[in-house]
Amino acid sequence: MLKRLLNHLNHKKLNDERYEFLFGDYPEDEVIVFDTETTGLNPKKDEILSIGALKIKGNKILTSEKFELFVKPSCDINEESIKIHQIRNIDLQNGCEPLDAIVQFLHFIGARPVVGYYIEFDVKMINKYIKPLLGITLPNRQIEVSGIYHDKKIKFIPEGTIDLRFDVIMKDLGLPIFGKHDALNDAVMTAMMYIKLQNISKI
Amino acid sequence: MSMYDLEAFLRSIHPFQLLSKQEIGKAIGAMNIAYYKKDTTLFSPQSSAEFLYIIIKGEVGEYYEDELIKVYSKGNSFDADALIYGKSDDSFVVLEELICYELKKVDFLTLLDSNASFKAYFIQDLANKIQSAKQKEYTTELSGFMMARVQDSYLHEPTIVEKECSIMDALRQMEHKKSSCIIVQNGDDYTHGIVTDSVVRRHVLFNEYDKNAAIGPIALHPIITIEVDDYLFNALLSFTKHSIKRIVVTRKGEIVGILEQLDLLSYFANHTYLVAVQIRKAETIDELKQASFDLINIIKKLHAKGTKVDYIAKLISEINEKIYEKLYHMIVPKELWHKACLIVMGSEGRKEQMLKTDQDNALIIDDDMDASVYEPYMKRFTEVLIDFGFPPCEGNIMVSNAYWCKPMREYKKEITRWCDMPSMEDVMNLAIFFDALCVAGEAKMLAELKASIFERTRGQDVFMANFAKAAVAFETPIGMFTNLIANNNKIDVKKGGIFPIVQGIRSLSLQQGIEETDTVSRIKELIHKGILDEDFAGALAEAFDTLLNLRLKDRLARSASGTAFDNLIDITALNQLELELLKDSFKIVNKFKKFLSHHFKLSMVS
Repeated sequence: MLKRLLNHLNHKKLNDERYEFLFGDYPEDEVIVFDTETTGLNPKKDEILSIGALKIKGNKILTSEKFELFVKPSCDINEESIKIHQIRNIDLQNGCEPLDAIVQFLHFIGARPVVGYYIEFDVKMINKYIKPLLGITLPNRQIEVSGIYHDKKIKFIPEGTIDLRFDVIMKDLGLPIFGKHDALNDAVMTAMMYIKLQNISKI
Repeated sequence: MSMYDLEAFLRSIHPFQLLSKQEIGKAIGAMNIAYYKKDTTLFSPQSSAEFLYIIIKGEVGEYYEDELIKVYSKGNSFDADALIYGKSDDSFVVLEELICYELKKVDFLTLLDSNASFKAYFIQDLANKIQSAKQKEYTTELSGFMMARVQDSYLHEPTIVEKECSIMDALRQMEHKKSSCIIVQNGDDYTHGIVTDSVVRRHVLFNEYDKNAAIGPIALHPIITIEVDDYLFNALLSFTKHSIKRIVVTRKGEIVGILEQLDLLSYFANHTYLVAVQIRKAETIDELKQASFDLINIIKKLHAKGTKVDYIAKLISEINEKIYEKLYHMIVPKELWHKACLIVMGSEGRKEQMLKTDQDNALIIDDDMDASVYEPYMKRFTEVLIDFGFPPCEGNIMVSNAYWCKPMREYKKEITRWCDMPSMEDVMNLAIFFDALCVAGEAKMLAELKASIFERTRGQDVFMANFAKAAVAFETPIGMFTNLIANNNKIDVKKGGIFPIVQGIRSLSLQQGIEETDTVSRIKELIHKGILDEDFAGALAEAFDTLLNLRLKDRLARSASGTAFDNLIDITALNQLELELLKDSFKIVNKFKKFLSHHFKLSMVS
């Protein structure tokens, strides 16, 4: 009830009617998985460097309709973060302007629920751009894979602490880990986690 | 999976590596990842296939009616036939929770149309399919060297001069091009000759030949050549065989460069050539023994590197022949050398022996000689070979046995006897003798005896049918639905396939008067004579190679674990590709048996 109310309030703040579709209908069996690479972990001052997103339809990850964009940052990326995501300044020379990237991203996801691993952070990063642009925060329903994992796992070890590290979950679910971490790669792996979790009742 | 990883993954799956960068990009762009629970039926005769599936993780079973006929796992793709022909006789069911890529039918068919070799893999006939799978096996398993072709190696620019060119001038050109030898063309009695440093040294420095005179007369000829697209390994065999240091490389007969032994050896850490030199230079039996042991080490190393087995077999033959020859020269007094002919028979004669095989040798002695003179030498010969590690022949087919060490006229008598009213033993004696190869002494004697075999058997249809009958004596271990018939998961590949092919080809070669001794060359001759159809013969040669390969692989595994050799291979140890190849090979063996039955009218003899 509260969620609906908040959503309603959020909707009212939308200042550009071209983005009504974010509140519209979507194909029932579809969700979006997305991941961002950023200059750091502080949504207030850090910026998005790349966005990777995929549609999941039923039990299929539609890699043939993938979304992957690199974003030009407003200033040079610092050395420390380059070491983590391995996106160098030169890799972003042909990146798009942040606002263009966000607009394309919103059109890709539509009103579908968004799935991610620690998705709260990624959504905050997106909100940082759309709040000034459209007056709203991302209205899509958010699904946290580590949350689903936690809930399924906790049934069997009610007293225990559950290791929610990405690679640990992948391994526990018996999923193949692919190559390096980048936004799209992580989105594919997160998508696998999501589908697998949808298909099993216990871990 | 990022684009890069996905591309690498796809390229690791045969035949996707045949696609161009653009094509593979297209394929990747069109693929989705799907998840299926255990027991899901992906498609069946009732529901047609929509995708080419490529397994990322999990297992899928292919069922014909209720029988599981094949299991696909990580990296396998299926089922091209169902997409190409629009239907499938089999059902594909998830055996273990599956994550896979799906390539839509239309995108797959578009790829087939855009790339001919990719298409050929899926549509081509069997021989090509096996070949193409093997080629892939080579490239992944073999060290670069073994697969490398002559053109992949560094080739020195050739210095080519006319015969009238002065020696000095030719040397200057050679210096300028930094070549190591000079090719002389259009000589008086040769088209190409070669002049090396040592030739110049010998003629100009020692024999004071005029350095300004024409180079033509001092050139050595004929020259040894190899084609650019031949395997480097064959160049190595040639170096070993001829004891030379460089070989002239040709493309369709035109000289394009010089391959230096040093360049080749720098690739090839095991220095096979050195063993050949060691054998050539050995002056005592002990030195020769040392060389023969070194050879065994090299074979182990070659195998560890994953070298194709028939190359190993060729190498063993080439070097064993040298050992035999050298030993013959060491043991038998010089004046007796050319009054006799030392032969190797059976698998050694066919150059198909693997690892250490039993001795199968014999001596043919000139009718003018007293045969007993050779007796002590031959006894010694057998003893030394046993000491070198060649196991004695169980059937006592060795020069130390008087039956296999006798004058020519006695062999002639035996040949006559073998051919009239033969027993099974006579047939086998004739068979191994027919495969004989001369390794030392007077080769003409063997040629004469072989001619008499051809003469005896020509037009003898009943004899030929009895001879060929052995080829169909054993059942091929494959059932109606191309399922392998194994006993405790073991299959006898010799009875099941190797022997039928060897004996069948031997029978056809005997009938056609073909002198080659190894099975593959015999098959080529049979094509040439129009007896075997080229496509079928190609498939037969591939099947033969496959069976030998699987047997050697099994034997080497056993030699590592110390268990005894036999011809049984364990099918649970084979991978999916090997099982496929084995089945396909047995299918070809069955087809060949049908051909033999018809050709020799085997139904007429019992």
